[in-house]
Amino acid sequence: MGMRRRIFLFYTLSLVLSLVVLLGVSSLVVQGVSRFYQERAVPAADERSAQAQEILGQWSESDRDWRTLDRELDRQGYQLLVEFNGRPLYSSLDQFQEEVYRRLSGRAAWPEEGTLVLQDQGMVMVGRRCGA
Amino acid sequence: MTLIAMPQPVMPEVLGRPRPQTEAVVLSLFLSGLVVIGMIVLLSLLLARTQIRRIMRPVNALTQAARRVEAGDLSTPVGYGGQDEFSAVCAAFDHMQEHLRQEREKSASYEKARTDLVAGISHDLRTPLTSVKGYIKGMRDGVANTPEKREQYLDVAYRKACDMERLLQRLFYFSRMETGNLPLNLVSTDLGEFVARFARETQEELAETGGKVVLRGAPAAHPVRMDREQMYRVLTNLKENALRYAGAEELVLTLTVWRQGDRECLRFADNGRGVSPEQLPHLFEQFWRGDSARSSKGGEGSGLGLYIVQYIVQAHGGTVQAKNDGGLVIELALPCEEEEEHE
Repeated sequence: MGMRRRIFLFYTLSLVLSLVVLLGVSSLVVQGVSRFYQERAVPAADERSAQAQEILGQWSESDRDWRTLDRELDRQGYQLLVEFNGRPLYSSLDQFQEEVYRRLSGRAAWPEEGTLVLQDQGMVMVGRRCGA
Repeated sequence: MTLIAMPQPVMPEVLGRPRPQTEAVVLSLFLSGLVVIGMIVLLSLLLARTQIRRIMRPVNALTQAARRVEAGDLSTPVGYGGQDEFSAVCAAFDHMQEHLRQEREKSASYEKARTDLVAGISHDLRTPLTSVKGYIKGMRDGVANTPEKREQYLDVAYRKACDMERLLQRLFYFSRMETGNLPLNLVSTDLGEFVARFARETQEELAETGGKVVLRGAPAAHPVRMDREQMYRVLTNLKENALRYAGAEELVLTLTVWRQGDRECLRFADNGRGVSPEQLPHLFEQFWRGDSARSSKGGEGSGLGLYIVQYIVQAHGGTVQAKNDGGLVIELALPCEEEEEHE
């Protein structure tokens, strides 16, 4: 085999192999991450968000005992954030949850009545408005 | 007032901490890209290493061959058996090495011939010189006590001195040839007339020993452009060669001029014993002397006469060849002069 042909084949083979490996691994990664969210995030929202939604919906507007509400929610694996005019009155969110909340809260429009379950990018939030 | 309940997010951990979907995908792709690039680089290195080894094989073979040549070994070939572009380079290298080897052998042969030449010349010069000294001493000591004897002594001494002069002239001429200091003064000449004039001169010389010159060829114009002095030397060398080596009792030189295509040809034949077929191819080599040179009439030859003939003829754009045909035959062919140039 000629030296020129050998070098040409070498570079072509390298290029094709690189593209195949790159595309293959990227596809596997995307597929893996997507499956993760499909398997974990949706069932989690289905099972526990209903409980949290019920606790939050039954909470009296006049009751300001956030700790009690937080404990009830905590049994369902939820943490509580109470805001008034954009300022937090009570929060048991950890730093990461707060960070996620800030990122997603701009897109949330909480209803005047009843509760809303919001799911975005694997995050689940249950919210409602109460009082003035 | 807004009440928000949020669970611990169900997120994949990427780089030690859970991340949102978009970030996780981007980061995962970035990381996997890095891994893939690493794999590709590794793979390329392996492939490149294999390729480099293959490419370097003939280069290494050439390097080793060059070192061998540097060390003086010209007999071992490169030894690369591939069928790629380098095989042509290696073949060219082998060819060059073979050429160098032949040149070295030729050079050694020339060197030996030169050494022999010096020894031969010393001998050739010493022999007549000793004779000249001997005859002069004889005259001085009164050995040549009659006018006839003195005349004979002087005649011998003169001929020996002429022999030495001829030898030295040939050496000087060879030296000029070797240094490229031999320009040709080409003039329009009729080869037939030129040869006829030479034949007349030689006839007188040969007549003294019973020899003769026969001139053949239809009377016609044989125009050539040549250096008359050099061509005269060619004919003289051929004549001296015949006188020295032909070995005929009565030397007969037959000169024939004819035209063949775009060449004017001259056939210079003697009636001697000729040259053995093995010696014919070497006849025009410099410093080459056949066995007969050692036992020739005029002592050892210089080994330059026919080499000078070939050199001059080729300098004129002609060819020269030798063969046996009832004696030694030398055939010269010179390019014809163009008609318009002749006019």
